[in-house]
Amino acid sequence: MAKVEFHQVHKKYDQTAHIVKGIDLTIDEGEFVVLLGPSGCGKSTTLRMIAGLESISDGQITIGDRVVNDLEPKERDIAMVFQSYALYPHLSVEQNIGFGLRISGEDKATIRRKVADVAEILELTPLLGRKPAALSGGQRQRVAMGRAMVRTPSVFLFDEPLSNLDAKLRGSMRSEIRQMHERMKRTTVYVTHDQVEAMTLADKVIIMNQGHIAQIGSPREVFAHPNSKFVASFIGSPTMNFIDVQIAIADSGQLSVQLGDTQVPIVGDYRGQAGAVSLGIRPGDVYIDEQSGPFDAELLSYELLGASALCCFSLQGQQINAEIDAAIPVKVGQRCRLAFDLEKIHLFDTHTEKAVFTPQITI
Amino acid sequence: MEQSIDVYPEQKGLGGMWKRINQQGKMTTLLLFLPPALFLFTLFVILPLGEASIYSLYKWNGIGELDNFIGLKNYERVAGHSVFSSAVVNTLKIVGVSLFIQLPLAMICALCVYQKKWSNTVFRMMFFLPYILAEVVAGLIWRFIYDGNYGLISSFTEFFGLEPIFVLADRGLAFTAILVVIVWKYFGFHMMIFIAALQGISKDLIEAAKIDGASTLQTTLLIKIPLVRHAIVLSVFFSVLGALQLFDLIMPMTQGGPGHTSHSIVSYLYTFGISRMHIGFGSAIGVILFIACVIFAFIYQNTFMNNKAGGKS
Repeated sequence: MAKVEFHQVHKKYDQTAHIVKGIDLTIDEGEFVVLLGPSGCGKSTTLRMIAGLESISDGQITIGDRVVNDLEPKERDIAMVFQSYALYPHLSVEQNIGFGLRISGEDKATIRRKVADVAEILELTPLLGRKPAALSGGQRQRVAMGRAMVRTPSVFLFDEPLSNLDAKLRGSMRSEIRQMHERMKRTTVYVTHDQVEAMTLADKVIIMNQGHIAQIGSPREVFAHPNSKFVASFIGSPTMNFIDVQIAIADSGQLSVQLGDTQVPIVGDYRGQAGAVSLGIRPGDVYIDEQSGPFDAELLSYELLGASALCCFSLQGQQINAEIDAAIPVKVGQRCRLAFDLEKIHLFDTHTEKAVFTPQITI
Repeated sequence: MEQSIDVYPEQKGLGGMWKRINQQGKMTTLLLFLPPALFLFTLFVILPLGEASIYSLYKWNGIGELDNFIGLKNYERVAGHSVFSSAVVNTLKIVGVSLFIQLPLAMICALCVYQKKWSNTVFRMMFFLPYILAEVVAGLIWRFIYDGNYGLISSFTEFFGLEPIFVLADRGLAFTAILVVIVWKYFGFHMMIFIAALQGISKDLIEAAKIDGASTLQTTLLIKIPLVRHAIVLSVFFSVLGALQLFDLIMPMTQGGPGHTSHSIVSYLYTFGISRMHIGFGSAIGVILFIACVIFAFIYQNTFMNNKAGGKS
């Protein structure tokens, strides 16, 4: 196990493309960290810099006590699982898993024993003689994991390892990766753009945007308390609603959200000015409440998801989604009274897009 | 009441028979594409070969009637001719040099310049340039280089105050000099085949090998070269067939001399068969060469170039 630290790490290509823009980061020993972000945000480059497959333009990366900036990948005590699995097509499963051990000069008996142990754990024993071409996607994925596990490195790196699998297999492989982590307790850095993978696997999620770290926190933390509009929009499915509202602050200090003629008092720590803000609310926190719902809205569309339904409303000329119980009978074109769970609203500054409100939770 | 449904109703008459034969239009395709190919193959391969086989059984100078049937005498003469033996040995030397010097050299160069950089493009072009040159032109250039009086070699001997060396007139050196030119002329072609194959290797595999701790040499020997096996197999095939057919480099350089020591099988055929108007004799050599090529191609294709063999590690 080893701690991984980034100190003001930059990555530039040809002095024009600045991909990673000075990130500071600490990944504790044995922690499972997921780098999450949209395509092109720099997450894979960050992972490849840890692996030593990309040079660092500026800054410092340490693994354990060693600065690894100038070390070759083989000197970093890491193992990596690639998106394409990168299995050697001319070698059998056994030879693929044992390749690293063979290179490090282990004797044949030891290689065979270690490979057999890993194959047993990953249920690959009957496949050891096969070539990668004769394996299914999930089996290839397990071989790639086996190749990483057999060397028992200090740090495991995963570069979108499940993106080539179908949804069902992805679910089972997710739990295998988590089990592997529980068993080996190694520091793990996992890159994905799939937030479900991030939420289910991570001890800590690092959300990246345009080469910067947008937020670091536990999956629950980043979901419940996004620190910016970007994080709020990136995490959660269906995505968060954003509507333009006005914040009014009474002489008594009472805050209220004003949308058209409707004013709703809110309670919490507000760090902005009175005036225009962006209000974020997740579809699951919007309800139809015909008795006391303060907002009048028209149902534009209705999508049945199963137990719930996703309804798109027009609210004062702005569109807002609500995830409601599928048993509630509503029709497109119908007018409804909507209510928000006020303990779960988010307010973002319209210019900086930073979160400026922490609601007071009543227990 | 049960009704039987005839899924494949039997069609009678010529129309029905044609439909049965022409399932999914396979017969139409066959009739459309096979005759032209068969005609051209017969016209340009089967007929000349058949003719050559017939000529090889006659003592014939290429003019007049074929009336002097001598059976397999031409083949006996070829087998007993010491120059033919020397030409076969020379051809085998060309095969050996191609396989053990030319191809490794091509692979080393390919490994050095296969990555996509502008400097590599320049080197690739330089190495490939000799292949673009016509064989006769290349032969004439090297004849001048090897010239003991005016060539590049002579400037060395003059500079060091040595006796002039006439490489192409020396029985011991002439064929070695030709081998050098063969390597120079054709390694660029094989290098290009290897480059194309190396560029097809996924970058992830090389990176995975790096992560697994492989050095550059280990990555080359254990990953890159096994992964371009198909290209190596193809290059070996071209090399051997090319060696068996080598002719137009030898003629401008030595014309098989001195003392017929630098003949390949084809230059031997040309010198003793065509030039001396022994068409029957030349045809016998041609038939022998053709059989050798076919046997090699057949065995090699079935051993190394089928898909099953390609899948083996």
